[in-house]
Amino acid sequence: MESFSDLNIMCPRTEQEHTYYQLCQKLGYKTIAFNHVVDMSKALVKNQLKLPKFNLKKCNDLQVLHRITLLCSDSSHLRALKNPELKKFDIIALCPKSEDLLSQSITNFSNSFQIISLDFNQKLPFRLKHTHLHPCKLNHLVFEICYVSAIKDSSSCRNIVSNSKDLNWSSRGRGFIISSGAEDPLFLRGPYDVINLATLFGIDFKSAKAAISTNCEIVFLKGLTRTQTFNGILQKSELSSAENAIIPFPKQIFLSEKSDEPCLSKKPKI
Amino acid sequence: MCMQVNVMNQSTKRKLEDINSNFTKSFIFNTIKDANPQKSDLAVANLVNNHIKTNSHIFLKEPYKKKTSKKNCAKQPLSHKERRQLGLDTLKQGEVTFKELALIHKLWCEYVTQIGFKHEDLARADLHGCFLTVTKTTCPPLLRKSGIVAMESLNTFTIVDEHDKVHVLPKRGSVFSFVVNDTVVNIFGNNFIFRPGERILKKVLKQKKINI
Repeated sequence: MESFSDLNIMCPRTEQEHTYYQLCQKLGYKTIAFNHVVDMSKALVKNQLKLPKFNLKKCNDLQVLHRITLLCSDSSHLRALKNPELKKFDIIALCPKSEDLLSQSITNFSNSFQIISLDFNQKLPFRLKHTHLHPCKLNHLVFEICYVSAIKDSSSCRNIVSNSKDLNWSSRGRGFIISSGAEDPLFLRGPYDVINLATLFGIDFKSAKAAISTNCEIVFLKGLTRTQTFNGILQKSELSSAENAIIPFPKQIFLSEKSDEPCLSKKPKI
Repeated sequence: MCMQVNVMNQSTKRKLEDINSNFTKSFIFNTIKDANPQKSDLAVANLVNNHIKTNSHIFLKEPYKKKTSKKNCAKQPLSHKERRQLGLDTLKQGEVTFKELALIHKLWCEYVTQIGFKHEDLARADLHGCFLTVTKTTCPPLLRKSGIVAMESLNTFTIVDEHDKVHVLPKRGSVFSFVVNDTVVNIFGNNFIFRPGERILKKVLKQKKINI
């Protein structure tokens, strides 16, 4: 069994929270990300970020993540990606408005965010090329398709189909995820239902399944390297946590200097 | 008729070759003798015979070779082949005991506390004498093996057990961890593939995605 995940659900009110947990378990999801949308032109006041606060209950069977999407319209907004307060969020997504911002963010800030979520409801102002997408694959960056407005409106449905066909063609079926973007629990769909919907966009069964399961794992693991580790090399944690109970210590008999007793272990004959 | 003509042709060829070879032999002999008159006649004649048999090159004068003095030889380090033949890169079973390494482990504990517990300093720290355990692997028989590091190379740690056994652990595909002053440090072996000397000197360590 592969673990399916949905990385874009709009952050709910406290009443709806419980229904989301129940529904996602019923449909067969293992991980969920709640999304906060921030417009950078309003949030940046005198070079200081105002970030939303969240207060959610934990669920035992579901893995609940927090995600933030930054709407960028100027190159000065990209500097805020190095803000240490963004380490609270597990996933960071960018929504660049122009082609220059897209190429600038990929080349300079590729280590500090994970998802590029373009607005597929409208016609894109630029064309996605293979030269954009190839460096994304090397730096483990991922594009995003939201399927909610394809269910809602017929006019935006047309744009989504054409845009996602374009993305599938230029990325050769690799390096994108499919998520819901739902504002209400009504619009959630099961994972195999999503794969069925993706075939309408011109995506294979194989790459559509990878877009829900394995590519989402890449996003999650890259988030762990950013928040908890030092460049993916080291990680520090406390001894008291339950995971670290396995780690043994060297026995004190061997370490004490004064003990003249022979070693308890058998010495192999040379 | 045909046979007779062939036999005639072969015999005449041989005679011509003999005359030619005698001429070439004497020509080569004389030219070499003129170029370096120090050589004896026998040595030159051997050279010419060798040339005709094997078609090898002959130098008129011997090529210049650098003379190597004994002083220079002593300074040169051992080549990689010689190191392998002497067995300097490997630890034999039972060569080092755990009790001997425990003294190094004590010194290492003082060394780490001097460095401090910043991420950047720990990534460049020397790990000889550290008590490592394997906490996560893709290879199940390596799980929970522990011991003091006796040697580190590009791709492996060599570890001595509490029962004086030597294990060689590959870095790729496993997570190692050690304890210092009530903090646990986990090393992701997939991204830790450096030579120990080069890792200390590196200024910028690139970010890589963890796999496990």
